[in-house]
Amino acid sequence: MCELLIFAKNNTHSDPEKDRRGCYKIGATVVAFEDGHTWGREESKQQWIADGNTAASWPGQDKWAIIKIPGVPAAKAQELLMQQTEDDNGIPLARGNTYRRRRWQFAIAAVPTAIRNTLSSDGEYTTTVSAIRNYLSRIRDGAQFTGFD
Amino acid sequence: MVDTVKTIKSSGGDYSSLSAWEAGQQKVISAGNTEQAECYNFQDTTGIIIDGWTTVATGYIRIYTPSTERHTGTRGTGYRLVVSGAGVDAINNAEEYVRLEGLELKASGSGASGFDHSGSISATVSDQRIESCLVYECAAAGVWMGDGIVKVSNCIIVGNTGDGITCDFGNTGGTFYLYNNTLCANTAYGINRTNSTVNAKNNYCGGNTTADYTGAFNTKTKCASSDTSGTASYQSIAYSTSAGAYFTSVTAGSQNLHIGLSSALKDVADDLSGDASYPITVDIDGTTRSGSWDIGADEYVSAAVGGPGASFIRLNNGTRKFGGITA
Repeated sequence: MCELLIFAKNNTHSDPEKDRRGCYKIGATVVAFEDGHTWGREESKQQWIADGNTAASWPGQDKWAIIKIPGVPAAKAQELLMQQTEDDNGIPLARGNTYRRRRWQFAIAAVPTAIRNTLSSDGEYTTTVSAIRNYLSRIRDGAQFTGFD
Repeated sequence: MVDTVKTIKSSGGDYSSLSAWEAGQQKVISAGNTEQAECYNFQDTTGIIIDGWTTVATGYIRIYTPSTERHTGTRGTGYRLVVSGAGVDAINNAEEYVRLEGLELKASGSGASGFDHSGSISATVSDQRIESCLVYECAAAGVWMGDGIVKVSNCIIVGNTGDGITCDFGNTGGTFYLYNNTLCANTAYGINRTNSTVNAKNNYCGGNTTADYTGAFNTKTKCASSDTSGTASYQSIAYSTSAGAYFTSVTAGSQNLHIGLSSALKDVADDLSGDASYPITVDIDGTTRSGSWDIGADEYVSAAVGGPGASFIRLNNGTRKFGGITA
């Protein structure tokens, strides 16, 4: 199983280039780990609660979501962590330059309401490759992510 | 003034990776405030990019290890950022005011460095610091710097496939201060000044394949070498355990570059505590430098140093001693 930590809000910066290049946006995969990863209390609502805190006080509310995908090694999710190093026409930038913080995004807003409600109440959701495939896409052209296949 | 400190731990912390901390805390830092990541002893495996923040001179990012969680100068002994993806640096920085203290950095994927930068960092007002870090086995330069004002001190940079430190030109160029570092067994140069203004003092470069130093430095004082590229009178100091530098170990893959009592690097450096641009006072172990300073990252101390109130002392071979027990 692979566990993805998804950013669930839009960070912004007053400099539009830095905003695009550097700020995390909703649906960005921040890190990926194997099944059973011990998350920090700011990342995981369940960990926050396990540490003796109330669910309502979790500082990660509407900031983080954990997606668990059984049967997928974390190595297959590493591409989701890569920044976009080409422009939106697909032309590579010079060495060391980044166009967008992440090349791929998870379309949180597009998933069924019941799943979004679970993410909001529990901070995590367990799914399958076939179920998540339609919601993982390349930002610049909408191409579907096939790295889990 | 608000110092926001979040812990990075394998379990029981605020975050389980530095990368998630960077995303979760990304913000505008007001003057007088700091955002700090306190990293504990474990292996973190996701490279981080520091970008999208707003920092100022008194409102900066600090990523550090507490002394008990810090490396001992040898690999795998403290918090370590060990990444392997092609082109994935351990730390890639695009912010102007960032301080890294006491980290182990390794990036083994092709083209990757322990520290690199992206974006466009001001060449005149920035302040990036890399202090007391251990950078090793990177597929490219251990530290690659091209933009802004970068200060590197008390670091050991060893066994990288490329330069130990590359001083180049990214988008704006910069001014770099390299003080009291030890750079050994890298496959190209120890310090390669290709571009930008480089001020190097009290460094030791030894056993680097192509040469220890190359390029035109703005300042290169008391910079020792195992070849003849160092400062005059500080050349041909062997990268060895039995001559010259008298390191603790030069075994490839497990070097311990603390110096011995007989080291030619001992007591011959300049005191930089009053340096006008970048004053420093300690060595890689946190030992306060005193008397005649030593060249390189390590200031030699005898094992007796520590004092009755110390919870532990750090011996000069890098090990820690707790109440008579050596760890």
